[in-house]
Amino acid sequence: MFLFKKLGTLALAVLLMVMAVGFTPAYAEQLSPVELKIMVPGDRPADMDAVLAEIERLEKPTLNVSINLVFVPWSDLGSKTQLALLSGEDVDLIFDAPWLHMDQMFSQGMYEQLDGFIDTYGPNLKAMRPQSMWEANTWDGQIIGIPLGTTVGGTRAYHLRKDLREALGIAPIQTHQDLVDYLYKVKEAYPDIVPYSMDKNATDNNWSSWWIEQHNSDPATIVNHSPGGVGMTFLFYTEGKDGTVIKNIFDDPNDTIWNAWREARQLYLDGIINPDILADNRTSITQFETGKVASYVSNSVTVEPSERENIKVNAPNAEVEAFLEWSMGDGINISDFKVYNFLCIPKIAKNKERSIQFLDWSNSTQDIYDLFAYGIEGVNYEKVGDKKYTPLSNTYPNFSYVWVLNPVQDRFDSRMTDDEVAIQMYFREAEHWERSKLSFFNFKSDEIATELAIFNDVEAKYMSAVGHGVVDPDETLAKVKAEAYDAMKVIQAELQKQIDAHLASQK
Amino acid sequence: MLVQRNIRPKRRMIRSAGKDAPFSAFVYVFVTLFALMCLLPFWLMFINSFAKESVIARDGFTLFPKAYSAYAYQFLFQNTRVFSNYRVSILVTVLGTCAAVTVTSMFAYALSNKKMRYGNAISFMTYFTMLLGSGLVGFYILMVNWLHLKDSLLAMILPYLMNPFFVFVLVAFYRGIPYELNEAATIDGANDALIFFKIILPVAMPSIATVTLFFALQYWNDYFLALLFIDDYKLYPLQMMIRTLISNLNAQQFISGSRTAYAIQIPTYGVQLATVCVTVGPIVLLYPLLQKHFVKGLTIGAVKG
Repeated sequence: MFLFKKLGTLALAVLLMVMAVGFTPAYAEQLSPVELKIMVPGDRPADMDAVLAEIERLEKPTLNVSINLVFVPWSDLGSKTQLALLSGEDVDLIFDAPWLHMDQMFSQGMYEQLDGFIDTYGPNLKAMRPQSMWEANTWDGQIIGIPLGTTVGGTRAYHLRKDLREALGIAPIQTHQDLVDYLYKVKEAYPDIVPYSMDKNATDNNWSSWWIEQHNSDPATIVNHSPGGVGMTFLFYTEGKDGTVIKNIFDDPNDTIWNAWREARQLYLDGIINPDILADNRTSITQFETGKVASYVSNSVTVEPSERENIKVNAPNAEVEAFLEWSMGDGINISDFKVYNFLCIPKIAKNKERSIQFLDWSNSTQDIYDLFAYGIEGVNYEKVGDKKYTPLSNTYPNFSYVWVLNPVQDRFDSRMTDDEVAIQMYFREAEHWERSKLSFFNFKSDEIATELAIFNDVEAKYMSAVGHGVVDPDETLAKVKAEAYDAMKVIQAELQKQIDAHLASQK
Repeated sequence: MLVQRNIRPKRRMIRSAGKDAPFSAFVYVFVTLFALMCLLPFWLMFINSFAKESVIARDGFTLFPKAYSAYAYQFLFQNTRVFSNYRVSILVTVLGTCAAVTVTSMFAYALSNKKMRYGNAISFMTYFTMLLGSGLVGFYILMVNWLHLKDSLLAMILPYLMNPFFVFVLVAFYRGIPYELNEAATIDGANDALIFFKIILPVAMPSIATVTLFFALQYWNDYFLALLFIDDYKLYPLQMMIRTLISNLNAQQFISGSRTAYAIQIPTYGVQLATVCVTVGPIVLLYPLLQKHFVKGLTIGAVKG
């Protein structure tokens, strides 16, 4: 009898809870308990448990979510997430990106369309990202992932040894030629320092690619690589500021591209580019921080504070500066406004509403965002004003780009100067940038998957070496042509067809 | 007198070696050099895990670094995960090896017995799995959706329980054991289980030891099953730690196309080497422990007449 009473009370409680959830539009009261499984790349920080405990302490009274955050090693990210999706595993939020397998997973129908969920449950998610970011990051017009990024456009910068430059009596570097002169002088004066090095596998991030990209400020010689996201090098390219005519390097040889390849070759032969560049397994920044490399190209347009400090361990007198040749003004530069990382919801996930509610909550106030991104105040970081922070420990490194990052709430490292922050801000503010004609274009490659595979293989095989100047560009491009030209023609035709159709539909 | 007495036996030894002495000397020198060469990478790894980071960055790996520091080990052990990972690795290796050796050796014994009904068919089925894999998705669905082994230690033990290759190694060995042993035991009233555990197993010790070593190494070195089936970091084995460490080094390559400066904590060389040292530890001790079994040929003289 007692048992029945107890069961009855329980049933009543459950009924009341269901009604409460059903009739409460927002989450002013406590929702039913739910565990969210979130799969992201990286290594679990040592203080992750403490931060999660604090997050749960704050949201349990309302959202009532237990967080099961699973970290997948970077090298296994593609296979493990794909397996989880294909086998129908119960994952609520999963990291994906166009450079991983987002297009493929979308075309296989793995991801839920989020437009409706975000409209209903994600006002903060929406408010913390510019409209242009939401518009440009869609697949067939649907939002399938929460964009995690801060910049609307991007470029790279040379990071170089300022102390060497000053010791050699060279004025601050202004042009490409200044840089080349600097490198030759470093080689002459410091025989044990490699003037320039890069990551070994860098089809898109090497001397020539960067040299070509610098011309993007000069309307006469603008060349854009990988149109429609095909390839990483200039085997396919478009000309002009916002070109939509796809060309290939064999049918339409372009001087800017060829000159860059030849220059890289000459620099390599002269010993300016690291002679062991294809054998060095270290990342370019690691090489630079040993103090034995005078310059490299960084994804960061300003010098990272950690970089400045790390190099001093090995070369106490080292000073670092960035050389960015980029015209910063309004309406000069175009961008496709694409973001590089996303958090998606699998179609079979059980707690879609709650996932969005949870992410929305993470972006709801600056304090909550800080907790997610930088850890516990006073232990992991310290606030400096509204827009900066100082990291206090290495037990909770900032990995916000896998789950909460947005341009409004992100903070800068307090060791950055105001000038550096101003440069960073330029790349974050949408109003400076013009939208490229291809910003809504998604290339559907299913029809030409075989040709694309051939092309990607050949590109990966040869083009890093060409870009670094390790091999002769004329000879190597002849090999590329022999192996991939037929496939390239097919890809080019298909790409052009889809772009034309896309442009026609935009009008 | 005392000195003379000590010298005499030595002289005799050299004399008895006779003409082979130069050859022996050559062999000793060669083997010593070879052993040193094998040891060298381990030494480099071990000593440089104690080297100061800046020394490694400047001078590369050296036989005797100029400055030492225990930072790498401090860093490694400040995270308590190492200890739980250790526990999981040891647990999986011990339980897995015991279970796998038991299952595989018993299965192989049954297969090796000539009286076994359908022996050939079962042999073929065992052999067949060596030729074709099941595919990853099917395996994953079986383990996760049907057997519900996600986040369970069993997920790291069960799939390796029976290894067809080791089965055939053992079958070959069992067939070399005289069948008369079996018959004699049967006449004395022993049943199959008793025969296997009391008679066959001790005689087959050299091959069992070999298989044990291989199983232990397989369980100890495996990260793949953990990568697939373990999401709870508290249940990660040590090898997952190395896997994550190495893949963080390469992370920059995976995201280099994304034009964002990511804050990825790249472990220092010292930490990498220290991690490897820590994970190599216990399994190295297994070799000398099992080695004595390799040299014994136990069946010699087991059957008289």
